[in-house]
Amino acid sequence: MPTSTPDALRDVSVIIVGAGFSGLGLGIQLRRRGETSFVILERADDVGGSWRDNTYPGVACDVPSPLYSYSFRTNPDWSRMFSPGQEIWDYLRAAAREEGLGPHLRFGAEMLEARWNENDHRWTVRTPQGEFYGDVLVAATGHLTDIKLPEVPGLETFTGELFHSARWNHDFPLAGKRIGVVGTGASAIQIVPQLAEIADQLVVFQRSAPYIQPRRDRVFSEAEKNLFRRDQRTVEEMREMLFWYNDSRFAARRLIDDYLAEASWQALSHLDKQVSDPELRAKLTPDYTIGCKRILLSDDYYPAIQRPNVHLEAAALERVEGSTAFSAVGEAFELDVLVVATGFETYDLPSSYRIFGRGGNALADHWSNGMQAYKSIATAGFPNLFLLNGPGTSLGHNSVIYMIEAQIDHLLAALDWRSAHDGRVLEVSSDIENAFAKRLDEGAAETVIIRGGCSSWYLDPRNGRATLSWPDFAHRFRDECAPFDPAAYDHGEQSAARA
Amino acid sequence: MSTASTVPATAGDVKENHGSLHIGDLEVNFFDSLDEHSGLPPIVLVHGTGGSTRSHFGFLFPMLAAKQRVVAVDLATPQGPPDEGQIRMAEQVQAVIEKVLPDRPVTLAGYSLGAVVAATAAGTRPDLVGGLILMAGWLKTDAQQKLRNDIWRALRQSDVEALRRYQAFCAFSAPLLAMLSDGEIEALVSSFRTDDVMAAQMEINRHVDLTDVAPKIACPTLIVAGTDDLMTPFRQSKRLFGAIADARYTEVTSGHAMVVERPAELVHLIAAFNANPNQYPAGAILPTRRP
Repeated sequence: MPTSTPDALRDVSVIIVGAGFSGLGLGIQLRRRGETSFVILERADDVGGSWRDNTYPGVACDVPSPLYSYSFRTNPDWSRMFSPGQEIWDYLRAAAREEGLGPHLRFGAEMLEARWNENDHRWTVRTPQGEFYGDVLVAATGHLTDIKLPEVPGLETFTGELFHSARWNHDFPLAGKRIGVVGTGASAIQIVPQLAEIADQLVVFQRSAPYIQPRRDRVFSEAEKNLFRRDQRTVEEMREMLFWYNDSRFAARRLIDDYLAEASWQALSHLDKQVSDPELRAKLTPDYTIGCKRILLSDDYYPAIQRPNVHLEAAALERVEGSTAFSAVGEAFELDVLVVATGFETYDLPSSYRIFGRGGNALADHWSNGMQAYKSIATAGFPNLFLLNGPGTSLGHNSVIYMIEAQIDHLLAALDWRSAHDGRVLEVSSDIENAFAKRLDEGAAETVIIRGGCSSWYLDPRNGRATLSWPDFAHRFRDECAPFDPAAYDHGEQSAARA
Repeated sequence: MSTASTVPATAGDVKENHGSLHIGDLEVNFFDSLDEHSGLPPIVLVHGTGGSTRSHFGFLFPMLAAKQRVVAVDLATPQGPPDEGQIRMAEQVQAVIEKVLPDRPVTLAGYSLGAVVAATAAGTRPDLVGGLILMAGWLKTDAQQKLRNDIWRALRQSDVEALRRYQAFCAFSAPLLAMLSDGEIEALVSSFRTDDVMAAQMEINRHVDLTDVAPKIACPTLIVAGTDDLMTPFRQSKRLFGAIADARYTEVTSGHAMVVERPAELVHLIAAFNANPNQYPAGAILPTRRP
């Protein structure tokens, strides 16, 4: 075990693991309330989470920027409705800096293990930077962080250059190369138009065609940005309009006929307009109900697919031998580069194998039947552990930042309650956790996530539960999950005094 | 006085029963989501001028029905004197409540003319209504509204196409209309009715007066106004806020067509009020929502 160097924040009230949107958002709120006894542990060397890791060409968010940002830190400077990833990363870095989080951040401090100590009722987090001790542990570890590679025989034998979309190799020159892209999800449809411009040949391996709607992106003019700066209310009004419009899209997810038909029409008419070849159109037509997988937004994906140097292989990548990639229908492609855009570990989180609660039980074991948490934030057997952006928080129709903020409000109220009650430990019972999870399962059963006839990253394939998904309006999450109700928690023990 | 028939129908995932009853020579249709889901009071929806359950509550009905029972009334337009319209329509709502949801508190939610009807129903039969929601309603038709009504009537005589454009112009907020493409504007324009039923309801609108009935409303009430409403300007909602004892008030950033412009926000407001009508006390203006 590494020896601990002196650090004023080695022993704190709150340990936050992760410096993405969740961890930084909580840190900002703590700072604004004058809290100083917290540390943010980050495994990388900078803040930003997904927006630090994803640097692929064309990276942007598919939620409008005025909404994909903190409500308590609106930004008048977004360059466009769907701003590039670099701008989102810069926004987060500026937020961390200007809100005074610098002294609280510890980089290269990966959570190797977090353990609840039954004697002093506190958490110990082991990192390469030594151990940290806290009354409360906040797992702000995200679920679009640990990359997932496809299980393709021979992938490791590939003789060309291979990398995941979230680990882009910017040192490798791609111009004039024969490139394969594996996947047609949110990352791939942004990457493909960029690579199509420079590749000699581009092959896109499509296991399942996505629904794609028009992006309706646009630049914010200097006059608009100036207005946003002069009158902050105008930014907020745009944000509110986007939020409530997006929330109304949940009606389609809940399979209400008229709204489902409208969503389908928006996607399929876009396909019809952009692709005239019936054979290609058929390949690009999804075989499940819209919204089951994430609905993608792009105006340049279909045009890119129709370039003479681009081939859409409507089949999965099945195996690799040396420099040859074989599709599931037996086509062979000689490739110099394979870009794997197959997403992330979402349902069986690597971080859950590193958190040990009562009796030394791993969170992953507690979640062997699928991850779940009371109000998406607290779980039985893990006292004073709070999860941000964990189970039951993902949306297909609105901004996850809104969900994170609702969770932060719950957490701040819980911390206030602890302060007012001699630092008593907060822990939910299995009954309360299970009852909440059951309601979510029942809600999900009414939505397209379960009923849409697809497998998506919102589902846990071990049990078919939509453990990642919040199966309701986003506003309903705030209504239900932001309020902290001490009666839902057991609270007998007290954290021992800090050293 | 009434007979009823029940025909199963479906709207999306909501198993919905359609029924009807008769009051005199008027046939009143209603829809009932049936499934109680919870211990929450059922919600009774009343549509606005020229509307129906389907055209005004295509979103609210199924989405509210996911969490509690919802009944919606398709108002029949009475033929008598227009100043009796609001009470004749209120009787229809009362009859549906007594038939479908007898002896239990309901939350009655009306939109536009439906808000006038709901307020009348709640004021004349306080025993039937446990909670009241008035969206884009008004207390008494004023000169600004009569002027709009005059233009409506004149255009109906002279230029029906212009009338449809005028309706779209009045119903939706300026910010919403500004965002739409030409094709989307035309689609909106063509959706408006100009028929005799609509004209009869416009006459009823001219004669609305809740001055006497509003003080008789005893239940907790939520008033929802649209900031950009030209047809029932938010000041009218504020007059209701002043006239109803146990009222609280909130605004949505919308024109009159809030059921189209901000349907999810309305679901939030209605569901939260139904779960806890006294979350905010009488006289409160709800805190501004900043999502």
